[in-house]
Amino acid sequence: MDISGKVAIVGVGETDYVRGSDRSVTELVLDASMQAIQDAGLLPSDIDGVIPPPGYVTTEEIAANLGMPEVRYAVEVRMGGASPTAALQSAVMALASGVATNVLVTFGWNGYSAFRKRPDAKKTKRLGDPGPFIDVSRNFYAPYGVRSAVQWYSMYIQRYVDLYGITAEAAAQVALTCREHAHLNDKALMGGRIMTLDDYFDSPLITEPMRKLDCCLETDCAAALVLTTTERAKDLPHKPVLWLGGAEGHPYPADEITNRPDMLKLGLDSAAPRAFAMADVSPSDMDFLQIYDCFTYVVLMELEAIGICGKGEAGDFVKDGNIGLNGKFPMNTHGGLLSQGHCWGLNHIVEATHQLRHDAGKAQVENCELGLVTGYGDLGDGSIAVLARG
Amino acid sequence: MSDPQQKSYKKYIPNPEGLNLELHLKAVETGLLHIQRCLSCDKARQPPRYYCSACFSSEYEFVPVSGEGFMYSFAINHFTVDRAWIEEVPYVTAVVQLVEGPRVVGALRNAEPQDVNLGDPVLVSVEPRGEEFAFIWVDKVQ
Ligand SMILES: [Zn+2]
Repeated sequence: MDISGKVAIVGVGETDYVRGSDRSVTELVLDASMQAIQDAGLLPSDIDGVIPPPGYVTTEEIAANLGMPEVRYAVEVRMGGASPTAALQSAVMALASGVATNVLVTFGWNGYSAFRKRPDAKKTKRLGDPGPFIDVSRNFYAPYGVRSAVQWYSMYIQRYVDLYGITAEAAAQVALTCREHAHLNDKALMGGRIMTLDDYFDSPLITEPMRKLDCCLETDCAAALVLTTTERAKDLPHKPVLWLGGAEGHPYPADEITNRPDMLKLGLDSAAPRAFAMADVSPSDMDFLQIYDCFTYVVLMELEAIGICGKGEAGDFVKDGNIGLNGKFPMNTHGGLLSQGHCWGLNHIVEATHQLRHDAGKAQVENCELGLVTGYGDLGDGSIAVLARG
Repeated sequence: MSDPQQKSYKKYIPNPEGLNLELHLKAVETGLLHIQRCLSCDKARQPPRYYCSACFSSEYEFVPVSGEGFMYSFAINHFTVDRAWIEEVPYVTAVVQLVEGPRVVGALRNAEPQDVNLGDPVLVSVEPRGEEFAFIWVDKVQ
């Protein structure tokens, strides 16, 4: 069964990206979901498939609160930040096979407020379920004071920068580019807040080589998408955005970083070639890239994993101006997790949709027809989607 | 100790289960770093797993290893959410390639961050903490 191009994104929604929301995760997710459903020209009762954020809000809660009496397909994707883009693959399979007719994919969290006590704030869920790698991290990393994502990833990023001579200037270029793009986006948390190269180097080291400004923003937010078949999309209000191909990939072993035969091989390294083959396009055909940017150095590794440049070449690639809005491959045109806000990359898919509808505002990549989104999560899981203007 | 400002935080000790517990008990009993080895094809593996990924046998043993190896990678931590480690920043977490094949994660204790490089020879040892956990120390071979 050929599923390339059979399914389209027909609705998008997102809340504001803030630090200090007065709304619970459930309220944020319901708001974004309702926006996406209305944007698609549908009613909540038309939705019969739901892929919610793992651990925060359930399909049952969403369906009951919005009014979806006919849910037939409900799954969760458990790949950390790779989940939303991997969820597209699941939605496509459900729609192309006829199991579901309209699928809602949503994510939301209080990624800022849940970690900070505020007397005036409503009670909110702190975290989803522990990651699928909890047993390994408890027994083999946590006893050594290694408890957070930036520390886990440093165990391979340090090797990456040492082997390939990747410089801090290259990582800075990723952070600065995302910030430049955030200035074009009214919804970006860091819009209007200037970042210079000096600011970057003045920001404190967290875990080498990562500085504070290499790290994405803790954010309160939610986003949502509605997908349906390309056939049904013809009757809906917006230009459909076609899912041409996609894939997920898991490094091996996925639950432990340090005993991988090649510690620098991410899930995305195996996923990307499958996605491009399905979509029958090559990386250089892309008009824009929305790359999961939890950390700047992870972006560099992902650019190599998708094959837009060779191994060890991403540092020079980003320094050559390729990723700016006027570059060859405009990247994270919304500001990314680094400067728009952290919605587990579902905001990357929302932005890709706006780009391909040609309603991305000041950040519009002129006449774009084809773009990609990546996801990255847990201990290096990866996902990718190649999207086209319908 | 009653002054909350003086409160000290204990380093985290996991409660291993299953194979991880078997591994740690061997190290606690003997004071030696152990690694799981396949009884069918002899391949060593870390962390412990129920089946061998090379030959799919479920027969295994835990054997003591030399502790000799080199720095395969590392993390230099300048910030930590773990209060028990705050006074130690910047601390170095070592990823050691053992001569026996597998890699282990441990705390580097005898070198400053600026003196650590990929490939540095190191020696790994264990320190029992409690009845069921052996902490891994890494020393750079000078
Ligand atoms: Zn074997």
